[in-house]
Amino acid sequence: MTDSINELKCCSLFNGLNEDELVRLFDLVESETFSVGARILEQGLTYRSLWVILRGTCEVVRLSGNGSDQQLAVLEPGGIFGEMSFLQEAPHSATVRALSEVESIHITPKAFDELKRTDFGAALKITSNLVQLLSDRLRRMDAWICELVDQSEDRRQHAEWKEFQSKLYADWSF
Amino acid sequence: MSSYETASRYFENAADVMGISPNMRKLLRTPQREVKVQVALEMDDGQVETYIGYRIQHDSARGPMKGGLRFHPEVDADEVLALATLMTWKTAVVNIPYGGAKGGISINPRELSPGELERVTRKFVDEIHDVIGPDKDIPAPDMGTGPQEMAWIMNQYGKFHGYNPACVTGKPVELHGADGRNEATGRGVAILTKALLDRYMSPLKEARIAIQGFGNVGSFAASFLHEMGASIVAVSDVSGGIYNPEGLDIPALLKYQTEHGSVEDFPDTAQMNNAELLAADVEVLIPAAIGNVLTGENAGDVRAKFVIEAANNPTTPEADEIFAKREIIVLPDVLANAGGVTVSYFEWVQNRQHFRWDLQRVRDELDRIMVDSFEKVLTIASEKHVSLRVAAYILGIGRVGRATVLGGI
Repeated sequence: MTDSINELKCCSLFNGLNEDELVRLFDLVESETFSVGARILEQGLTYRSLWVILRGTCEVVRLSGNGSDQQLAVLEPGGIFGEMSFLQEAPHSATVRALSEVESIHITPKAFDELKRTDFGAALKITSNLVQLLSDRLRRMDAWICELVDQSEDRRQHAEWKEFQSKLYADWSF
Repeated sequence: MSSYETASRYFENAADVMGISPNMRKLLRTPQREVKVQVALEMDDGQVETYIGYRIQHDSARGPMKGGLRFHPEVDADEVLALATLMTWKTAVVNIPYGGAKGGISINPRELSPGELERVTRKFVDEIHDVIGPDKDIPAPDMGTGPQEMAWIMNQYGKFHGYNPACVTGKPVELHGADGRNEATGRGVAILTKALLDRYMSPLKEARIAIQGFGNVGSFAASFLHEMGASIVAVSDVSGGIYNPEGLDIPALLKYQTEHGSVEDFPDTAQMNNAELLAADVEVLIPAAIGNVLTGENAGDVRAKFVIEAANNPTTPEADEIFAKREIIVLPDVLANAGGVTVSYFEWVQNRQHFRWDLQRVRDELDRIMVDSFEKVLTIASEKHVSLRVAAYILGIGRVGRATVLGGI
């Protein structure tokens, strides 16, 4: 358990929690181990829990329409997943698969409610860390969208190029 | 208005008709490379003079770039760019596989000794040899340069890159030059003057012609037109103009010019100044000297029905509009004087194949290209209801544009 507590300390979700708070938290979470290839979360299903990787790595995969998987991210120890469905009941937006043997903990909304009652300070710190993680992700998303907009700008250029080409051939070829 | 603005105006007129987007216009207008170099020279008297040399390469979508090298005190970057751009459309109009370039040194070659001229030419090659060559950019004679300068260029280029006569055209016939290169621009002007007059049912034999400029272009144009039966009634050179309403004896005049150095005081002629020559009572006016001679101020005085632009950019856009209103037909420079670069192309082909053509073959091929291009421009003009200039630009821009989109950027 001491090992696991030490690992929790390294996780950004638990930044600022002291030893006692971590011990109290650890009583509320469930530990689980997965073998290589195991699907921890399944896109489209709803299983409300917030996961933290203690050991091993996972990949976040989005299943595309044509059946080929698109890897969105690789999560290392300390990485979290399931947070969107945890905060708001909705089907998982992606599948999480174990790339190695994975040791994880997860906390259910019910257990988190319990923490709020018993140690509101710890719950608040976790909530604040979660907000930071989400806002960081939102920032990266913004940058990505800007990039996409630029790309579509390029496509418009391409359209201009095509228009020029067809005009030269159709109207101005003698 | 600068030379480049003038050249741009004609481009824009055609681009408007074609409905080309602003970005594509910018792509076609923007020069590919502009080189400006110091040309330092030790004069015969031991003084050191420093000149500025230019080589501006406008477009290479259709092939290696091609254009003259001008030694003239008024050479500047703006003028060279305008002429480089003109070369792009010109090579495309006559459909020879070249792009456009132009170069020059702001220098007065008349003030230099032959030794100084050689040193300045070689020094210029030292500065630009990396950006020219048979597959990159091939210089040719222009105002203030001729076969001798081209021979020096070939020799100096060879010191860096090995023997390769195709690196420059307009060379002396004894040194890989082409028969008929010297007369080519003037011959093209004459061939198209006849073709244009035929098209408008105006017999060449009854036409009176005034030619401004009696240098390499004007004198050969006069000579060929005279042979065809036209009556050249007025010519001028730097010394002044001469006029005879009955027609000048061109062979005798050429002999006189060789002996006296100018056409001035040629027997049985009246004197005529530049303004009078441009307004002479003739059917055909051929400006064959410098640019911007027909302007908003004097275009109203022109009495000719046809203006053949043997020079580059002789007509300002204002004059062009006045001519259009007065229904004076202008055969544009990009077509009218393209004979020179066309035979330069023949010279380059002969150099690359190590096979010499005889004069008759050069003339036949030149005549064919000039007439074919002229017919094409006429067709566009009548189909699209535009002037010959706009039609020629449409033909040139279309060809350069298609090469650009096929090759990609």
